Amino acid sequence: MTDCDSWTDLVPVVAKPAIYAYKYRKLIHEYWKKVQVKVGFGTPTVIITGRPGSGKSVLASHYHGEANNLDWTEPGTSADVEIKPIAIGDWTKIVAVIPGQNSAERARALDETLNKTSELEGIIHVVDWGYTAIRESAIKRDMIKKKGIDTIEKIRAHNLELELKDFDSMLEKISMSIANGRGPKWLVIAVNKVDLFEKEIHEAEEYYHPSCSGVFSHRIKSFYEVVGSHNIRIKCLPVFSMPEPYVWNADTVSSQIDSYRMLRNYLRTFIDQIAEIQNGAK
Amino acid sequence: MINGTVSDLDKLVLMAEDVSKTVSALQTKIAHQRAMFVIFIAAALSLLPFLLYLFYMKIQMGQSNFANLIPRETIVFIRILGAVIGVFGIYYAYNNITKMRIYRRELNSETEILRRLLDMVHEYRQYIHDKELSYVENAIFEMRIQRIKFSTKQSA
Repeated sequence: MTDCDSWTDLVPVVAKPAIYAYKYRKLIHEYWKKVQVKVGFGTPTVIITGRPGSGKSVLASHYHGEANNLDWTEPGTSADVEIKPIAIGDWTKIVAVIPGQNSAERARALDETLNKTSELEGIIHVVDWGYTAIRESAIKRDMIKKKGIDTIEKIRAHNLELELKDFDSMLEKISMSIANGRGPKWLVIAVNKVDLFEKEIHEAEEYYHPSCSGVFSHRIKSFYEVVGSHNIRIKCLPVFSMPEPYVWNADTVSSQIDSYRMLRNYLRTFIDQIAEIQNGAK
Repeated sequence: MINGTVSDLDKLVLMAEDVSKTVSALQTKIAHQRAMFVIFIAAALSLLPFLLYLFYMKIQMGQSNFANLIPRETIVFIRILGAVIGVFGIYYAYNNITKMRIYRRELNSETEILRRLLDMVHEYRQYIHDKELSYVENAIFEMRIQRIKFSTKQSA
């Protein structure tokens, strides 16, 4: 054996770590992101926003994977910003779930992601077509007795009004951020709790979809006029993460989907579409 | 702010501000107690070998060269001092742990209240009184609520 032969034997050995690092780059990236989240280091590249009770935390828990654990319980009100590593397409992203309530934590998180960093890639804005959960029983009683909001239709109308206000405020923040040379590259309007209105999904689509003629569409058109449609892509996607009935006073709207397969399909399609938008926005 | 719902909202916001301050104060107290406890443990661990050596030093002076150099009275004094420090240390540790337990219990109940207030303040403002405020009053409430730290994380 000559010296040259021993060198050729050595080449694969030397190259092996690099080859393996390339082969498992996505796994390495995933663990790196997990470590970053664990030690509280790393900037969120995707944020989840929306009104309180619209189902942001539950949705994020499903994509994070913790909702599959046996000891997982449905999260209540989130007072803190939740940071989770979530796989969007091939790569893992650091996702921040921002509390819906106006608080110091929400203000700080939005300011940091929209105004202090250029790393924000996208926003998932969760809406629920008026089926927002109201958590405090005293408030529910007051609404029914004092305000006369005693049917699901009335509470939905009220919720839709508040949802629109919240969306307006979000668009305003995004346009400010884009004006400063930052801001997200995409915005997904996640129409959550679709299991409650699957039969009327076209009506919901008409209401939210940017290319339809609903209320959201008007807001989006005005927003595009301000920031320019080339600066941000907006898409509307249906999703649901937990089949659950909506109860108000004596009325109940039951979940129209009781198949686990449908739930998985909705969740998978939703994240695949986001990955597609993410890739297209690069 | 004279009408009923606004006054109720004012009460809720005031309470949230108060509870939030209490939570922050308790968190600071717990952090302080914990820091003191860590310092105490570190000091005790660094002094322990020396104290043990002095405490178990043989009475028979002839058997230890080091002991021969120190007067018997000094050794007795150091032993008494060691014992006093030991008793004080145990008392301090016990006191510290008890205080921490009390603070934690208080923090848990205040946190629970704060979490409920977080829901109540926002839902009340959005669903009950929304249209009864002027723009300025609404903005004042917005700013007051935005100042409240609802997070229960120490670092937040």
